[in-house]
Amino acid sequence: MALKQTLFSILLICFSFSTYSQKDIDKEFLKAYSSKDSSDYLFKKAYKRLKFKSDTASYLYFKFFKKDAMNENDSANYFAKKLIPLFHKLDTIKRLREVHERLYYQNLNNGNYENALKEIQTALELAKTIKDTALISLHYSDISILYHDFNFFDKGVAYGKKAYDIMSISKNIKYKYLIFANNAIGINFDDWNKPDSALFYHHKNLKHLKKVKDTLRFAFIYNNIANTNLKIKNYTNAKKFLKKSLAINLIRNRDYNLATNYTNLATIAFNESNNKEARKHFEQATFYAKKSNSIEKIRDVLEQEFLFYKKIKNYKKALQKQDSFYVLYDSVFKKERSSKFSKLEVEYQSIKKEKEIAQQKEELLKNELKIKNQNLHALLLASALIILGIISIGYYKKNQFKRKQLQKEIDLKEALTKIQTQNKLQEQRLRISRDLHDNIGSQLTFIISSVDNLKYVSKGANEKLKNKLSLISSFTSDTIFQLRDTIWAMNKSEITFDDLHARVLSFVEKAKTATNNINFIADNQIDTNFSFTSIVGINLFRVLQEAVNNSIKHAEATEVKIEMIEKNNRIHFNIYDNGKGFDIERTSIGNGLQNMEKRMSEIKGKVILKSTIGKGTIINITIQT
Amino acid sequence: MKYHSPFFFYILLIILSLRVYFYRGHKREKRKSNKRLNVINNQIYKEQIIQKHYNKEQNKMNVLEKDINQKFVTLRTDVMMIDFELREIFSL
Repeated sequence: MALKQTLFSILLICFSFSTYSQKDIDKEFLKAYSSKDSSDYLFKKAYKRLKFKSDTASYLYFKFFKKDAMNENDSANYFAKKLIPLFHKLDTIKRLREVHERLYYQNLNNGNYENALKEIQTALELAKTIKDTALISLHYSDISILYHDFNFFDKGVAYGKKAYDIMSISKNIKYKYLIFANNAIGINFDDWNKPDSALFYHHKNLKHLKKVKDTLRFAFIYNNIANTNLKIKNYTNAKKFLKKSLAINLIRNRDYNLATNYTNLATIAFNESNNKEARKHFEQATFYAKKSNSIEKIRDVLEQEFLFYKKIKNYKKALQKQDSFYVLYDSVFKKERSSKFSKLEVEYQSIKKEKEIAQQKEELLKNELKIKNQNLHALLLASALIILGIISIGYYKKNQFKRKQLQKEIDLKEALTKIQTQNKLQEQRLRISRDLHDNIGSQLTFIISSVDNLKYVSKGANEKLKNKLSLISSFTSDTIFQLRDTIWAMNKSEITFDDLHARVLSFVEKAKTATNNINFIADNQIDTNFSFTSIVGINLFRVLQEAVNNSIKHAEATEVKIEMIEKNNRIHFNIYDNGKGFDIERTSIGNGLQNMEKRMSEIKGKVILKSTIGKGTIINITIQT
Repeated sequence: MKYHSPFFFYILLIILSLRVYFYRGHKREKRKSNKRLNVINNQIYKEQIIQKHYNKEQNKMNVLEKDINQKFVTLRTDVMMIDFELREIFSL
């Protein structure tokens, strides 16, 4: 019990440091736990300070361990039943594992092996949860011992080796757990009648013993070596190791181990026919076995006592011991219990497998979900691209259509403008023509009728009348010619250079007949047949006409030359006369010249006048082609 | 893929809606544009009618011009006749 208390105190101190928030209340509970006389009072006092669920859990935890230390198993189980669900809720894995471990030892001592297996398996799962390699190894060793107690030696060895492997590959090797593992393997081999293998593992532990600090805790190594040597009847070696073990156990006051030591010593003694010593050792073994409260130990003592009394032919006592042994043996080893044990093992393994399968299923589902998400993302991206593509194409087509329609509109508007312009021009032309024709036509009609009248009147005409008639005649002729020229221009939308040239020649011919003393030359050096609008054509003709008329009227020339040249994309009309010339600067420009300049500026042309007195005049008319 | 059926359905719905939207937009645009083009075409047609009318007028002008030319000829002949008669009168 003292050992239990010190062990627990150490555990608690370590745990208290790690849970700083629980420190104060845990201290009170620890005080209550450690107290020998005032434990209940201190627990009641601490109970009043409970505020949170974690405080209640701590209270139950310390109460459980106190009751367990006092071997009040029913009370301990009562607190354990309340404590375990609370720890699950609070997720206090470490303390929960300690409770299950403690319950394992309790059940083991009581020979309740099925419950012991359940508890140690739970403790093992919790150790795996907190990923404590040392505790995992320890619990595998505990399971190995349990299987040994139930004579499932092969499984015992398997679990022992598992415990050893887990610890040996750990980054932080703790040799005491290696020792526990080897010990479990050793005792399994030992009871499996494989003493060589058993000794191999026990001697391995002697090497590990050098690497641990508290060697006194491992006295069982010597006992186990002694036990195996005993089985192979190597009593000398067995006694040697037993003495070592006994010395340590007496110091540490370990009842269970002392019971084992004395049982073995008694067995050696009676095998060596030292019956007195054997009896003495058996008494001590029984004392310590009962003190340790271990049914297994009491059973072992009874078994050896039976063999001893059988050897010394005390059959009555041998029978007594045998009966007591079988009572204990049956309570532990009933067949149903054996099958229950197997079932528990199968259940545990199947739960373990189910967990693994569930984990794998979870992994598979996670992967499936990951793939599903990836697919979804890819689909979303593709859909977004498709939708974007459709929208882009839609707007592009829309704009394209708009552009086409706009172009059609523009073309139609152009055509409309063209027709409108043509119609306007035509309208103007018609208006002018109409005006002109109507006006002049009516005037001409009047003139004709006047002349007709005069004809009748002029039968006995005098000189005056003759002159008047002549004037009318010439005036009318001029008017007719002018009108004809205008009509000529108006009738055409376009006048070619050839038309103009023909017109000029026609005019020159008329001028020749009107003036006898002037020589007219028309020199055309232009090959290309340009086109002008009617306005340009008529203006050019009028200007040329005016220039020639001026030469005829004012220059007193004998020769008038009209030259037509094309040069640098321009048409030049040069009218030369060899007349008297005039001073341009001193002479004021008359209406005729002004009209010429005006007409040429209207059609974006130029007229340049050069004259030299005594030599003649040159008029240059230029227009862009 | 069967898990994504609703997703496909929604995408299809969106695509169909977009198609309908663009189709209707196109039709609307076409209608407006045709309306405008028809207006211009009508104006062109009117101008063409006016042009025909002007061409008829031009023909009338041509007739008028012929008439005037005839008058010119008459005038010249008459003037010449006057001159001739006057010569006849005064030469005798």
